[in-house]
Amino acid sequence: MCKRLTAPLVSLLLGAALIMVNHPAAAEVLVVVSAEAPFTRLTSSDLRDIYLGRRTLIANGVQVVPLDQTEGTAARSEFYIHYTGQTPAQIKAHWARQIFTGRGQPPQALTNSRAVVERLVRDAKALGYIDPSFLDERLRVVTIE
Amino acid sequence: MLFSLVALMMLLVIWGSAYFLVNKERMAIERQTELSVGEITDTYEARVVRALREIDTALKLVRFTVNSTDHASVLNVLNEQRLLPPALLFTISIVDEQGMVIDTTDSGLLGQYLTPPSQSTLGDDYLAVGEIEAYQEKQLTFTRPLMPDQEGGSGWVVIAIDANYFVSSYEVRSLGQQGMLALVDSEGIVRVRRSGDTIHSGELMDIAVWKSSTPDAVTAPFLTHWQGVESYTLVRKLYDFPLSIVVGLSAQEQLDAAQQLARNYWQRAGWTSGLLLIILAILGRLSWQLQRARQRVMDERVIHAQQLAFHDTLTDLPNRAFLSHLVSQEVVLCGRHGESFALLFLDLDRFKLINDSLGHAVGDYLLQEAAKRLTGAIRESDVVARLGGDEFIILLRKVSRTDQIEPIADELLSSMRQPFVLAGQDYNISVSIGVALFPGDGLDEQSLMKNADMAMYQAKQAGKNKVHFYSIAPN
Repeated sequence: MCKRLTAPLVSLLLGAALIMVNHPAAAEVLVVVSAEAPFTRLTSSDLRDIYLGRRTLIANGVQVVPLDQTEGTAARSEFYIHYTGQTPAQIKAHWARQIFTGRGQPPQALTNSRAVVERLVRDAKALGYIDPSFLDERLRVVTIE
Repeated sequence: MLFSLVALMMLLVIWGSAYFLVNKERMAIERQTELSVGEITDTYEARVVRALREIDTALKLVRFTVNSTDHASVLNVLNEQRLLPPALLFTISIVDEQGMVIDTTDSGLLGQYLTPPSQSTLGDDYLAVGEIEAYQEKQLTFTRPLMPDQEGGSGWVVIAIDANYFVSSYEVRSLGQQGMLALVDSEGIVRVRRSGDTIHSGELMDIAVWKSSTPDAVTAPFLTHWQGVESYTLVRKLYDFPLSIVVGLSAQEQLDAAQQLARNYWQRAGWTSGLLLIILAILGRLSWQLQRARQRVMDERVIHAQQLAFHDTLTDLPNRAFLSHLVSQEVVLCGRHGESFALLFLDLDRFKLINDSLGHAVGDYLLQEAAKRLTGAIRESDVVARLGGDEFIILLRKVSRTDQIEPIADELLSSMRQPFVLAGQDYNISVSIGVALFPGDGLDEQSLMKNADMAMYQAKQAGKNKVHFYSIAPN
């Protein structure tokens, strides 16, 4: 119970600190995978298709499991606007249509960049986006072409 | 005449078939519209029912988990197992007896109050549908009691979802801007309706009346007039849920395509008619010209035949038959008006000699030359004709006395005085002329001819190259 409550609190504080300290950095997200992941490059259309649920495999048949962050996080809106060219509201409408017409489910949403990092380290298939300050040696930055 | 008849018939055919096609097309589109309303309704019904089942299953799952474990945060546990609908769209809350939110997937709601559904009408266990405003959006709420077995209840599970979700499958491509997807509750209140890109709710839709007005409202679309739009509409009451779906296609929008097509057909009919009229006009003109040309050829043939029948082929002068006709006419005319005319009978002297010694070809040439000279020597109104052989007749009109005829006769004699060049040699050919006058020397063609012939004979007797008048005694 205690642990569960502190985690969001810490991330909230951290996020706030980051926004205050380094504003341009807060407006950036990195697309990352585990250091063990079989790929380090993605085309921007692949990335968009993966996050909009249009495909789960990239070239060479490699399976990719995208990880999202929960609504309202700064990283999330930055990621979608920058990499898919769509606002969070458009993304929401997209998933409403996808779910209602039975075409797919949105990527699993984790509460913050830290949770994404924890998951990525455990899962070589996972793909995520994080605040640059959470980058460490267990991760690799994916080059978006 | 024939062409205008053909044009009329073809125009009738063109415009008749255009009318037929337009009608057929319109009926096909009406039929197509009814079919697509049915198809869209089937799909929409299936999607709504599945969406509601998922929601209901989640409600029951949360309830079951709450009742069977004493875990503090059931929702967190279920969420980690990915057993709940995505939090991106669905907000799941557990509400206590007083209506306070005690656990939720949207932390912002924690501690807030939700109005519980009025239990009296619903019984022990139920699925209640309601609505709330959240984040400036209308949300639909689906509620189940936590402890259905206990009196008074001990709280509820609530799932809230944007009302838009239930009309997110609206496609402008198939439904147009004035089509309709709607979710209506059992009182006829529209929970959510989408037409084009606009979302409505809270309107009253009298679906009970619509349904009772047609015997088969479930499968056969019927026409409705609602909010100024005429629509092909289908209403389906959902099995197991207190909701109906309504699907509409605007008749106007669907028929627009037919009208466009109709315009095309009429336009094409117009072009075709124009083209047809032009072609027929050209054909008509060509045929008229052909007819005229043919008429001209016919006329020419008649003239040619007349020429053959009434003219001498060698000299091209009128022949005996034509002369006979002319003289008879002259006899009638002059007889009626008391006028007179003269017939001159001419015979070339020594023609037989030349014809026999120099040959027929030379004889023919001589006759042609003589004919030319004689024709040149008379007046415009007079006629030279060839009787045959070397005999010619000249009809002199409007002469009554010998002193009027003599100058002309002298002119004729002198026209022959110039030698003829035959086979390279000069030959002097003279002519003997006998004259008979109408009416003094005869009252008909026959006697005039006979008397002129006789006068000519006398001229020959008198030594050739002479003129002799019949009425004057032989010298």
